[in-house]
Amino acid sequence: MSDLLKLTAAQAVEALGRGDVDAGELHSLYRERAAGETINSYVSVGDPLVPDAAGKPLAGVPIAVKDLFCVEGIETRACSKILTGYIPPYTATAIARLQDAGASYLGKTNMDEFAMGSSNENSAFGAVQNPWDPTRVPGGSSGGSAAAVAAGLAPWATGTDTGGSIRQPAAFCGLVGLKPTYGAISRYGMIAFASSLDQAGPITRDVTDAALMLKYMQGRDEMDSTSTGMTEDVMMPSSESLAGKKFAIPAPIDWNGVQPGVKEVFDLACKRIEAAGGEIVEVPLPHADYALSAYYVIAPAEASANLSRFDGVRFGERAADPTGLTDMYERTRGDGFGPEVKRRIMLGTYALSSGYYDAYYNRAQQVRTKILEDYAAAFSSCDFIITPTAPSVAFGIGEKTDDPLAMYLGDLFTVPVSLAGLPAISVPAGLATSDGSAAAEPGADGALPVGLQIVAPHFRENALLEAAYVFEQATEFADGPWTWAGS
Amino acid sequence: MTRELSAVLGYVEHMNELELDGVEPTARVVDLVNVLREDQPRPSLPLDVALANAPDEADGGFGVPAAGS
Repeated sequence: MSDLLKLTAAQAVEALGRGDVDAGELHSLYRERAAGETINSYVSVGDPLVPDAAGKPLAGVPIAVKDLFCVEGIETRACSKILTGYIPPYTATAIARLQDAGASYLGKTNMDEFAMGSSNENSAFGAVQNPWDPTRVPGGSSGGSAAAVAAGLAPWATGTDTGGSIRQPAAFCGLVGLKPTYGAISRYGMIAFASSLDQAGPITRDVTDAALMLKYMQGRDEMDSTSTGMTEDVMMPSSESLAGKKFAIPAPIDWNGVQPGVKEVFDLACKRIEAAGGEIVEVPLPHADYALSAYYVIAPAEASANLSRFDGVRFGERAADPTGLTDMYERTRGDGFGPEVKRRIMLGTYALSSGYYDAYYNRAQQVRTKILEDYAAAFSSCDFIITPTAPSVAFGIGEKTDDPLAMYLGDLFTVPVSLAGLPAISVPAGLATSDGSAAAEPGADGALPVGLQIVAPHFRENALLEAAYVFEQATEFADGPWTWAGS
Repeated sequence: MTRELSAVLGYVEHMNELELDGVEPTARVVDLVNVLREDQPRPSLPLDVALANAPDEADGGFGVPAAGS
């Protein structure tokens, strides 16, 4: 049985196609593991029945779905109390496309409430344990998806990324996480956080699986007027060399805020890129340093508008025995939202209020323009931009919950990319000691994964996946917890 | 909560270091213009499905407590 757990999704598709593996058996294996898990990565597990997927491209491979995606007939809460009991009458386009391609629905994964957080600790369902070390967070907001894939509770999972919510948990759990170009995948049926930033994408064990999931998720959707689909077909990566490719390190990076072990793994990654034929250069991104400030104005501002729909009128939980309409609104929202969500609604409402709009929201959007200009100039002299995905290894559960600003600062490498809507992937680059003080060898006691973030120009996902694939082949990254599981 | 919000607002003041006069604000990153479809009726959610999640229903609509109290 445990051999089935070691198959990537792409390998499982092949094995299913050959008839070596039975789709029902594979689904049951994962479903039973998901139902019996102990790390709190799932919030619900789906039906045991597997629809017939014979002849379809994904051949019945099971998939875990972040609780941000609506699935018809399945309670969908974005891990918030306020959406208790909400049963969507429709399925998100991204998930429907995967199901149409033959993916079988496994269950809903835990996440930070409304995708607001970097640790999965802001969930109405409680924190999730990182399979590499149960005392640590899996990252967030797609923490349940990453933990489930890393623990061998799903072959792969969908995530969503607003400021790093696919890439950072992938890095913390030793997985591949791809945030596609803004617009590549429909947002229809994804519960909205910050609409100019939100983007769905894959969390997988390898780069090939990320390409495979993207292939069947992407596409223009008339239900999302900002969706464009990819400009080219998604290809399965197969390159063997990085010859002729320029990988740029943005300058300046303030390495003081980065753990030495993360820096060491990043430096080793640069050497591997060079050994594979790539060239390492530097490019200026002078406004990247202001990206976090702009993001923590723009994202809360959009969230405060998006979350106004949760008022106890049309769906979700309503406060009991309201004395009148205003009392119902106040108590429904007061009881229904968690502290981080309230914080962001207040920040956003403040930033959008007349008198402060120019100083905060408008200014943040001007910074966004400068960041876009920086990237456009940078990509005239390089093919890709590389950074660590996160400045630290996975931190302890409870370590940063009292200091939201410290939590926000962990997004420094992922947020500028989101503001520019660029595609980016996090690929496992190596391991560091649990205190982040130095790089560690595979198999070292307590070692934790470190991710490399690779960023490409808009809609250059194919080139990005090829580069990530070559890097993955060149990296001796030890297998993850899914290979320890069930053996 | 007050202390935490002040810390975040203090941090974002960082943007004030930049000279941004005359810089156009960016609201979206993908260059798209609205294309409107033909205005033709098509099926939408049936009433009972649309109301299925409502905490309260009244006369085929969403029920709410009286306003103004």
